[in-house]
Amino acid sequence: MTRQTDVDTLLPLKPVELELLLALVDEERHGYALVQQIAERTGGLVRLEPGNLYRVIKRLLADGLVQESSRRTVSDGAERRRYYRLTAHGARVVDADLRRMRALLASAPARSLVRRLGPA
Amino acid sequence: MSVQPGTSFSERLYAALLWCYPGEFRRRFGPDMRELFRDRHHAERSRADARGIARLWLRVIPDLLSTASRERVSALHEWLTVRTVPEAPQAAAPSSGDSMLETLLYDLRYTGRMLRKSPTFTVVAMLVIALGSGAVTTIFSAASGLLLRPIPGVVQPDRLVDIGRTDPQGGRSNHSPSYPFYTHVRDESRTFKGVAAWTFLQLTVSTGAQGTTTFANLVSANYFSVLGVQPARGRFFTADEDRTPGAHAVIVLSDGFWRRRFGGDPGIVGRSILVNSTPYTVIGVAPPKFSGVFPVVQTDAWVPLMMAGQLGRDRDALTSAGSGWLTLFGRLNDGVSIAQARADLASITTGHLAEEPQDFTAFSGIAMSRLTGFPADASGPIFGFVALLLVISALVLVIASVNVAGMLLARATARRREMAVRIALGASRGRLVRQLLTESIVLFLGGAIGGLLIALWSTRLFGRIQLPAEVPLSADLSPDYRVLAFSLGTALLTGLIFGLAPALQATQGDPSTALRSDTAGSGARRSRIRNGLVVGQMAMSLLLLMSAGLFLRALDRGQRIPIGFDTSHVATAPIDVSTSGYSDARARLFYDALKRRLLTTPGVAAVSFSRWAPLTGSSAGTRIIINGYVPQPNESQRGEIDVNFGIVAPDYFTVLRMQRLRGRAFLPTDDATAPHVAVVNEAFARKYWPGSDPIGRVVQYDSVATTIVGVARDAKYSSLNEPLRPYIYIPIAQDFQASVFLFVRTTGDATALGPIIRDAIRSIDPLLPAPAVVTMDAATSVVLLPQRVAAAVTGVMGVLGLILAVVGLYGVVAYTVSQRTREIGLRMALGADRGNVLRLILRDGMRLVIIGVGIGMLLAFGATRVMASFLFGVSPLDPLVFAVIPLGLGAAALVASYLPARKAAATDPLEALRGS
Repeated sequence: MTRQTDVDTLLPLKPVELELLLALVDEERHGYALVQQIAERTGGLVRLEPGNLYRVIKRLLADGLVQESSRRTVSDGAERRRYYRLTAHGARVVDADLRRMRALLASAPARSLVRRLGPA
Repeated sequence: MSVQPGTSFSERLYAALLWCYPGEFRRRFGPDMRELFRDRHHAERSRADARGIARLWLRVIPDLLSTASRERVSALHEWLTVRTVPEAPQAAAPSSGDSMLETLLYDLRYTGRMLRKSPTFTVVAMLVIALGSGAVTTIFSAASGLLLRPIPGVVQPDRLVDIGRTDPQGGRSNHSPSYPFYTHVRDESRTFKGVAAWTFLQLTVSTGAQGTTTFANLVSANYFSVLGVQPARGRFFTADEDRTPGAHAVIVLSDGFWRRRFGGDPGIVGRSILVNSTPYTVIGVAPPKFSGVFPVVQTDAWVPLMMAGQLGRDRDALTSAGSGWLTLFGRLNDGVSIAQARADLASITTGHLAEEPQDFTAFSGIAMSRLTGFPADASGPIFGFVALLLVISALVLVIASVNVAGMLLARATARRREMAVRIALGASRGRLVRQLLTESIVLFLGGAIGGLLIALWSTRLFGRIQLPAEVPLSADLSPDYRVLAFSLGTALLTGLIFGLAPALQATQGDPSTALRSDTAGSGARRSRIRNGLVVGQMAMSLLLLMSAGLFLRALDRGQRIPIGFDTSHVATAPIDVSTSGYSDARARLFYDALKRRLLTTPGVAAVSFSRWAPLTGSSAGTRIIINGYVPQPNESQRGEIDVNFGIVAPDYFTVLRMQRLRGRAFLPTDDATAPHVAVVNEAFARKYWPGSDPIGRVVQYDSVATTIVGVARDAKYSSLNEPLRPYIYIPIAQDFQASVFLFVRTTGDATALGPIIRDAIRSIDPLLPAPAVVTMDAATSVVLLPQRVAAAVTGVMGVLGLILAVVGLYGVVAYTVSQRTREIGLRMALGADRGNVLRLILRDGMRLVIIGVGIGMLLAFGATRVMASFLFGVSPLDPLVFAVIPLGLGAAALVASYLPARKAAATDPLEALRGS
């Protein structure tokens, strides 16, 4: 079901998508861990509710940016949790999007704006 | 999608709501989403409890609605794309040949746009619906919790039946089965997989320190297996434990009791605990939520029937065919109907009658009904009462829906141009009606979600109310999936019904006239519908207010019924020292000591005991022989007469301030060795010794000659609407009972007596369980509970209905005024003064009100009759209610039409004629 879509057609990533992919860079995570990780890194700014989270995951799965991991845990009689991991293609897309942002930051208008507002 | 037991209501609701998502999405991510919700729910609950959970829902619901609808839309898109691949690219608006789904999708999108375009209309309409839907959903939720929910933990509850004994005609009088009767039925019947027996009893459970009063069941060993309940830990009873009386001191605990009292000790099975001061072995723990056959009663332990004698039942309880004390239920064999099972039992019980005392032959009939979670004879009245409340709340929803229908009608007029344009462009009328219906259904669905939130909140409020009952009650009234389905189903139905007329209106008529003129053309029919709506609203709101009025009158009457004693400044507590291993002799000493100690407390004026507490719904009867009285043929069995009686200690009449009319009250000297004495009430004296002095007369009580020494004033003994009945009091010292109610009268506040009573008991014996102390005011208020509930519910609903109806009337009158501005201007220009205009408008408004009130009165004449049994003799056609309520409603309606009428009267004729 994973079809690889051209990197360029996927750019720019939506902020939520980027956050989610970034959260998968260093390790595989399940839903709740993703929500927590994203909330933590954005200082509570991005809080994903279940419906939204899995809609995004569905899209990323369809585009082949993430994959279901084979790892599953059985936690105290609860249902098995699904883990997700970043695919190589996904890593390329994140990389491309971050480059795009870096280029954006380096552009003259952005630089002058940053100067005026002072460092964040 | 299976849901694990033990999940919270929020989790179950969320799991149910996942059905909003398309099947594929739900199958793929549903379990994970539930898991995620559960994690967040745990986190919120541990951090902020109820507020955290409310916050969670506030975030989750919008997420769910928006993502589910978007998933549905994209699933539909996908599906359509697959289906229509060979066809031409789709047009923006579907033409007549398109698939239904696509139309629906289009309608939904269009609806969203239209509702967003007029946010005030949308919000007000949804709020109005939410009020009505909230009313009916709350009552339905409570009804579902009490009546529809199967007994928790039970397998195939529809195959379980209650088995009782009645007179052969299956009439009202019934009789509890005895143990020999039970074993006979169990062993001889062929239509049951199993028949089980049980009864309530109170136990004192301790582990060495102070005991706990525990509500328990004595059960036959097959009790759990007939119900199909599986143990959460350990095991349930075996057939072996059902054979030898007193041989197996074993006990099963409820999940709640195991957690509360034993901290969820994982090693509980096999542990020895003290039950009524005797060691019992815990053999198992029942599953969570299982609370016996009557789920509203909080049952904490189960003990085998064979232990009946050890736990305070009569020694011959397990052998005597003459003592009925059990409740029976059975599981039908596959394919057997209730009628077949009843016939089977009827044939085998006739064989048993020979072994029973003669007077039991009156109960040769068998009563059988589905196991409902209530005593068989109580479920009928409870069902009727709840149904009554449900109908009343449905009226509020109808009134609210009528209001919204009125709003939609006004909008339909405003949108005639839009509709005309669309018809002119080729849309069919059916297509437009469908579009408008989609709009009204979406409005009603939105309102229903608001109503669910109201129900969630209000049932939680109900749950907090503690009833001062002898029995620990706990009912789960919160909404479940049934309530969700009911509420959404109601919303669909009402949206369809109340959206139809406005939709037909809006699309009616010749588009060319509608396009040519801006004003509403043929208004006659439209205003007829609108007027009809107002009339209907007035009628229903009158009916609501009438029932509220009647219940208030009944409550008032109930509170004024002279009960014959004074409950103020008195507290009462049930105490049973026999369950703590006291012999009768030791119990007598204990009660004497308790009385002495309490009397030394400052403020305590009097102390007494009684076997039963008055006016708490229970009554006791006995048979006596009255010397010199010749019974009527139908009132006696072998010369004995049935009378109600009480067993009371000295000072009982003083504590309850029951005036003594003649003779003396009981004295401490009326002890077991003294000559037996009794006190009767006036009704007793009047009935059996008319016209002569009852003092010194003799009756045979328990085959002992007993002399009447006093006459007490008549009182209410069991319930408020009981007829005046003969009553006899026996001194407790001459018929000793270890299980009693303590009564303490204070000169101060009765609620302060709780700790005083508990301290006094502890100071005499620290091992005794602390009793529940309630004021007599609270304890006797239970008899007025149905009236209180009904008055509160109908009162709230009546006021809601009134507000909605009056607002509806105001809207209609104001609308008429705005439509008739020109006419009014013309009339004024031709010489009509303000008074004339005011009267004109008021007359129109009040005409609707009078018709509505008239219809409402006619309805009320027919409908209030069903309430008669709750009214304590207040006539269902009570003149006060039938006079005051219509007048009050009329006055409110007058104000509602006066405001727009005044505005009409202030019309400047020049402005009105120039404008439009």
